[in-house]
Amino acid sequence: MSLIIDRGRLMLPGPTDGAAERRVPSERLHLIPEAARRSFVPWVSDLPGLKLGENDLTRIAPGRPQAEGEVIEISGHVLDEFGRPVRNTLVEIWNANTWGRYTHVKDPVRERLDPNFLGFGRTMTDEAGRYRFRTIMPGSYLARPDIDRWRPAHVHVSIRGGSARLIAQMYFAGDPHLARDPMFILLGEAQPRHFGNLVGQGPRGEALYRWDIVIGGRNTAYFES
Amino acid sequence: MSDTPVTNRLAPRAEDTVGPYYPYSFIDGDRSDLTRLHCGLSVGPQGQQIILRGRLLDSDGAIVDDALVEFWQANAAGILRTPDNNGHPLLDPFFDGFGRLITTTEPFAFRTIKPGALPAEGGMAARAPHITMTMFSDGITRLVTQIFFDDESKANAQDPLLASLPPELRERLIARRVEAPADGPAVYEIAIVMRGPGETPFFDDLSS
Repeated sequence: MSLIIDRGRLMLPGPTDGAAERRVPSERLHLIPEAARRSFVPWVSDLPGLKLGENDLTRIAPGRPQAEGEVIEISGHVLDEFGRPVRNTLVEIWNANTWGRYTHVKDPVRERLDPNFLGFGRTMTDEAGRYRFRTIMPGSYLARPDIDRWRPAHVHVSIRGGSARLIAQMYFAGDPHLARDPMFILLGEAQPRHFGNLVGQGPRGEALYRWDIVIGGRNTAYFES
Repeated sequence: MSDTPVTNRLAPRAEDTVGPYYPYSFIDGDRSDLTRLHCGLSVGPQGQQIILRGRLLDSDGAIVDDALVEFWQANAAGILRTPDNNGHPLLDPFFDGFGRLITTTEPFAFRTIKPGALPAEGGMAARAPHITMTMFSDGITRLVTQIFFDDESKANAQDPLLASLPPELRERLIARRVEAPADGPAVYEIAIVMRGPGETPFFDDLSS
C-alpha cells in the first residue's frame, strides 16, 4: 500500500434498530502503534468444557423429541486470510426457531416457542479447522412491526478461542426478505460470502450447507507471526 | 475500494453486530472475577486485587446493558499468557488474564489482579499497566480499547499507545482510583463513552 493512512476505519452507523445511532463511535478508530500491538491479541487457552452433542441444536437432550421444523446441517472451515486453518477454536451459533422466535428472554417477537428447541450450540474446530452443526432452519421474523421490516432467516456465529475473534451472520440465498434487510444490504459486495452454500442432502434428507468462515486481520496468526 | 491491490488472500467475513439475543448461557463459568478462578483453594493469583468498575455509556449518557465485554491483561509480573510465553518463569499458574461479563443497567465490576507493566522485549516497547477491553452489543460491531491506571502516571507517560493519542484523548483511557474500604481491593473507575461528547478512543486491530 502506497497510501499513508494515519487513522483506522470509520465504524458506519450500524443497522440494528435504534441502538446504533447511540452506540457507534463517531470518530474513526485509531491505529495501534506496532510497539503496542502485542497486548491487543487475546489468547484464550481455557475454554469451557464442552459436552457431547452441544453442536446438535435439534434436540435439547438425548431421548427428547426433535425440534419442530426443517433440520439442516452447517459445516465448513474456520480459516485466516491465508487459508490456514484456525484450529481448536470455539464456534458458537445461535438462531431463531422455525417460527422466527429466539428463546432469549428479551425477544419481544410474539411467535411461538418450541419446547424442544433452545437455539444455541457450540463446538470446537478440529485440527483442520473444521466445524459442524445440526440445527433447525431458522424462520424469518417481523423485527419491526411499526415499519413492517422483516429479518431474513439467518444464523449468528461467534468465533472465540486462541486469538481469533469474529461475530458474523450466515444467510440463505433466495430468502425474500434479504432485499429489504438493512444488515444484509450493508454487506454490499461481500453479500455472497455470507450465504451458506447448499451442497446436498444428508442421509435423513436434511439440507447440507457449507460455509467457510474467514477471519481477517492479524489476530488469527499468532503462531505464525 | 477501487485501488485495492490484487491479492490472492481470502476475503474475510464481515464483522457484524452480536445483536440483542446473544445467549446468556454461553457465559458459563464466572469470568467477571479472575481472583477466584480456583474456588476452594487457599492459593490464588499473585498481585494486588483490584476492581475495575465501569460504565458503558451511549450518546445519551445512558448505561448500555446486555453488552458482552471481554477483558485481556497481563499478570502481576507483566506477563501475558500467550503461546510465545509458554514456560515463562513469571507466568502465574493461577491467573490466565481473560475475563468476560454481560453488562446490566448497573455499572459493571471486573474483579482482577492489577496487571504489571509489560517489559520491553523483542523490539517491542515497555507498556504501562493496562487492560484490553473488547465490547460487543446490539447496534455495534466489535470495539476494542485499552484501559490504564491513574496511579501509574510515570509509566503512562512512556506508553507508546497513549503517546499515539492527542493528550485530551489519553485521559479518557485512564481509570481513576476511588475511595474504597482499606481491607478490600482497590477500586478504579472508568466510563467508556461509545459515542458523542467525551467519546472514548477505540482502536483498529484489523487495519493495524
